[in-house]
Amino acid sequence: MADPRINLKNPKVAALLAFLIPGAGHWYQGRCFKAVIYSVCVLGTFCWGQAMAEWKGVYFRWQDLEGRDRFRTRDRTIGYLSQVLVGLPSLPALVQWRRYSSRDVDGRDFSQLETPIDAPFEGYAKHDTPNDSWEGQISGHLQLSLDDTGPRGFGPEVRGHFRGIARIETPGAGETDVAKEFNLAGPITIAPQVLGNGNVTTTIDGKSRAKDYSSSRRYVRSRIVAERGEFDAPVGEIEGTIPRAFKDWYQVPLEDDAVQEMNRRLGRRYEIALLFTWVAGLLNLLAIWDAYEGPAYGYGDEVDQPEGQPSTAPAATAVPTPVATATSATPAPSS
Amino acid sequence: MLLAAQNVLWYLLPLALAISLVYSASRFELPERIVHRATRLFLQIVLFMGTIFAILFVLSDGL
Repeated sequence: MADPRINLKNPKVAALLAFLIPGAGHWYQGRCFKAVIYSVCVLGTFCWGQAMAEWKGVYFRWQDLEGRDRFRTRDRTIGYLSQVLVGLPSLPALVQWRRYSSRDVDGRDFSQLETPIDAPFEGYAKHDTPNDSWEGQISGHLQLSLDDTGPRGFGPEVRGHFRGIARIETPGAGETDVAKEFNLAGPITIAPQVLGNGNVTTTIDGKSRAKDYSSSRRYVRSRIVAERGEFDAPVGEIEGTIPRAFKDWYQVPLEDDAVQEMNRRLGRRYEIALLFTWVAGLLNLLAIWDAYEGPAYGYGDEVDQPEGQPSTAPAATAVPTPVATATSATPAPSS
Repeated sequence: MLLAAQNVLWYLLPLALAISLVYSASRFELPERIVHRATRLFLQIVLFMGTIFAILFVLSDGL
């Protein structure tokens, strides 16, 4: 039972608000000091944890990636059950899980495009024909789309076009920027549109390097083709990335290799980041209960009793009650 | 942040502060009582963790 001096208004509404936005329930009840404490502490802890995890510490996954219904702890983000208590800041993970898990699993070999692509491209290209042989970094504009019937009726095929600048090293002249334009055709490898963190390492340049992962970039690899009579002949290859929208990676489940990469790169900081987000959720549980039920120990001005005995109300409010009761309960002396 | 860059244990200080404040706020209503109680709880947590750290540090000496 809450102290009568605390106006909880509608406790259910307050609890719901406290769940959705930490501190909002107390603000609604007019308990502004506590609203600030809850808001700053819970949201601060949550956001700090998210920032330490490069905004990839909160996501929901409840199934293995192949869609099989088997229980493996690493397939299930148990920690999300705590993170979700922070409310709105962690709820997008449920939507992202739905988007992520509803995509065509067979499509993960990327033989088909989910949607046509028309985006800026950064990467590397190798072009090899007898009269035009070059390789180097390229940047420009990439268009890819799925041709349902195929150019010659052989079935669906991804085709595209690149136009941009290639930085080519020529003997004697160093690096020079040259305008390039060419057609692309399958097989095309493209990372899914909705992905938390993906491998974007360039391999066709032949240099060995550590694997590079990115959330905001989407991996693309395709053949460069040139018309040779009736058919297109492969004359080269491009590999690089196009931008991935924030809504397509934020709070999207991380795949196993991406989690390993995060752990390898951030080390214990990634674990501490997760701890921050879990603690934030559990702290908000206290705030939700406080909004619904009031403070657990009382108003705070009670007189402390020796250990083992409950606190009593302060003298100013406690004294009048027993006096009034005794007065009314005592019968008037008869003459 | 600079301290935390040296050793991840320093991250526990702000975490302990947040836990102390929220826990105390969920127990009482009066701001003075909340702050007083949170300060005491924070010091207790830090003292407890510091003691455990010191014990482990001494025991691990030479390992």
